[in-house]
Amino acid sequence: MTQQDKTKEELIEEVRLLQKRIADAEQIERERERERESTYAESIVETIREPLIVLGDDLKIISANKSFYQTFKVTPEETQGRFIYDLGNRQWDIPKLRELLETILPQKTTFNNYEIEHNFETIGPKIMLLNARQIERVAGKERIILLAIEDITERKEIEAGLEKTRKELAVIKRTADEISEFAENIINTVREPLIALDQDLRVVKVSRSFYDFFKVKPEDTVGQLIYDLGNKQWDIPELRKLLDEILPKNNTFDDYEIEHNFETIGPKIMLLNARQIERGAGKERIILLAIEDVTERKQVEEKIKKLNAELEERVSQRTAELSTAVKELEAFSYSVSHDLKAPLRAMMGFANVLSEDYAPKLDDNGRRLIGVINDNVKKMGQLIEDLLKLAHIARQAMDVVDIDVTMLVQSVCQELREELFHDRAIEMSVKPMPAARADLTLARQIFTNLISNAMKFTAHKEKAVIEIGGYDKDGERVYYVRDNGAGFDMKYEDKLFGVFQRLHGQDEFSGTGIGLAIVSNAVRRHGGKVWAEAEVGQGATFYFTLPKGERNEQI
Amino acid sequence: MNKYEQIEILLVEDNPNDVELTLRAFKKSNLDNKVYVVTDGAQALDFIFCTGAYTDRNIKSPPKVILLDLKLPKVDGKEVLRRVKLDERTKVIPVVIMTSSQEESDVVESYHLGANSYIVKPIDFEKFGHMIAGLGMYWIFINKPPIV
Repeated sequence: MTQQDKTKEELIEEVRLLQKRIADAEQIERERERERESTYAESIVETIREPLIVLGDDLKIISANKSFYQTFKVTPEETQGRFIYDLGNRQWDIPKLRELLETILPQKTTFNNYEIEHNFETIGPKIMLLNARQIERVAGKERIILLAIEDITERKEIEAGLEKTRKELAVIKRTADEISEFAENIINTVREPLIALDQDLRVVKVSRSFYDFFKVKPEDTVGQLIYDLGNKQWDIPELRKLLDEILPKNNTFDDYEIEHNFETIGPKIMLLNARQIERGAGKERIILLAIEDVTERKQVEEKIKKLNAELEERVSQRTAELSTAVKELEAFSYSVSHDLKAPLRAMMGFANVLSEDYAPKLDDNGRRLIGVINDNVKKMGQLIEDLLKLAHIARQAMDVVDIDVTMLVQSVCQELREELFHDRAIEMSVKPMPAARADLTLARQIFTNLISNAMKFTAHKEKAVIEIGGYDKDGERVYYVRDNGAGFDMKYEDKLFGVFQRLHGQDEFSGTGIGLAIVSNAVRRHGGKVWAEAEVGQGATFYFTLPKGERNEQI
Repeated sequence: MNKYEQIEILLVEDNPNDVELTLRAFKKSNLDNKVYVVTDGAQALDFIFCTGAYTDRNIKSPPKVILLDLKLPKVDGKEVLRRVKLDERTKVIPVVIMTSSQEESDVVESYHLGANSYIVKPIDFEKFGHMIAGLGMYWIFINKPPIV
């Protein structure tokens, strides 16, 4: 059959087939084209470093890149064709993502840097930055969504760290500024001149008082070598020693004394206090030097020292004089004791030799006269004894102890009764007394004299009553000896405690008039006082004070 | 046999009145012939150590007691006491300090130097007499001295 043999229908059919083949070929070509484009797009997707997913209109995942699978630790099988929110145990069901995909994107078709913070089941808490594009009619789809995911967790952390550091730095800087201001204020507030030097001993900072004191100007000072300051007036060997030798070893130095004749302010004595402060890596150092002018103080001290020396000399001179006087007094009482008694012994002795050897030649009056000599010698002897006692009390060294006064008084009473008044009926009442702090010998002497006086002056009473007691009054410890004896007229009270003062005639009561003077002296040596109350014929009470004792001590 | 043989008491006393009264008191006890009197410390030392005027005395027949006043011319009583008590030959001789001083310091010092007794001479004639008699009686008749 030839071409001409074909029917019209056959030809039409042929054309139609041809047309179809062409159309098919075109279709294939188009699909190839589309495939090429698709591969191209996919290649791009694959090469992107950030995780990227392609979503369909229905929010099901069409594809994802390798980075996505790696980052979120998932496989293509469990990803492709899945609803995005269902991915990886619904870990992508994030409200903000829903908001982005369902609300924002349909309106805007593109969205950049949408930040999502979420705790992902597979990879933990992350901060993600999402970039989304909605593209119409691609890859045979009406609409696809490209979602690029950038993990900015680390970056955020770094940023946060940076921010924190920045803030801290700001705080540090503020603090440093404050400290620096504070330091500056201190420097300018301190009264003493203060100077700060760097490690080369050049002046860094100077207090106002330094300028005032040394009469220098800031422009001539700051930056200068300290030794060069003010026409080299600070070039002092002692200062060089301090700064060059001592400070490098010690870091701190107090009260280093420098005496120097300063050109601007004259001769001064300065007390230097230095601190070496290490800065930074320990390489730099700052030396703070506080300068105190002690010139005046030194002068005053010198004056005081001189005065003290003079005073001491005077005191030792007086002490020497005094000890000479004391020695003379001792020599005096020694010779009184020794030399005055010998003639008395001779007088009495030879008067008795007279009465023994010449008895037949003496008549009654002669013997009476010898008796008068004897009596007077005895009296003189007693006077000497009492005077010695008085002198002894004034110079005897005191040994102060706590004294059980009650026991002391009891022992004194017993001794006196046995020795002197054994033939008399005396009612003695010794009350319990608080302890005294005194010299035992002197305390015994005081009570002995007062009690023997009381015994003596009650001699004419039918019934002698003597009471001894003690109490605290107005913070003082008072002791008393009371008797119902002869008493005395209070108008003579002032004579009572003087040496050789007697208020009674010798024919009434014997005595030398020294006993109460001894009492007074002994009490005064303890810083106490003594007084009396009396009425003629009604008795007398003698009071005295002694320092308070605490414990009782064995008498 | 020499003139010091019978001496048993050495009285060192510079006051002639005290010497007379003392000897008078010893006489009453019949001891006056046993007493030898020197009137200063230097003589006392010469007597005791058999020197000076007393070279003819025998140091091996010491007195039974020395009655020594403290206040003496030339060498004082304490120095005499010290020398006697420091010397091996004489330290055993009893020394009785017989003085007017009742200074506590004198008493203490005398005993420290080795005094065997310390007596304060009383002013009262009667007491003085009794004291001397007692002294003589005690040191000559009662006390037993060591054999030198």
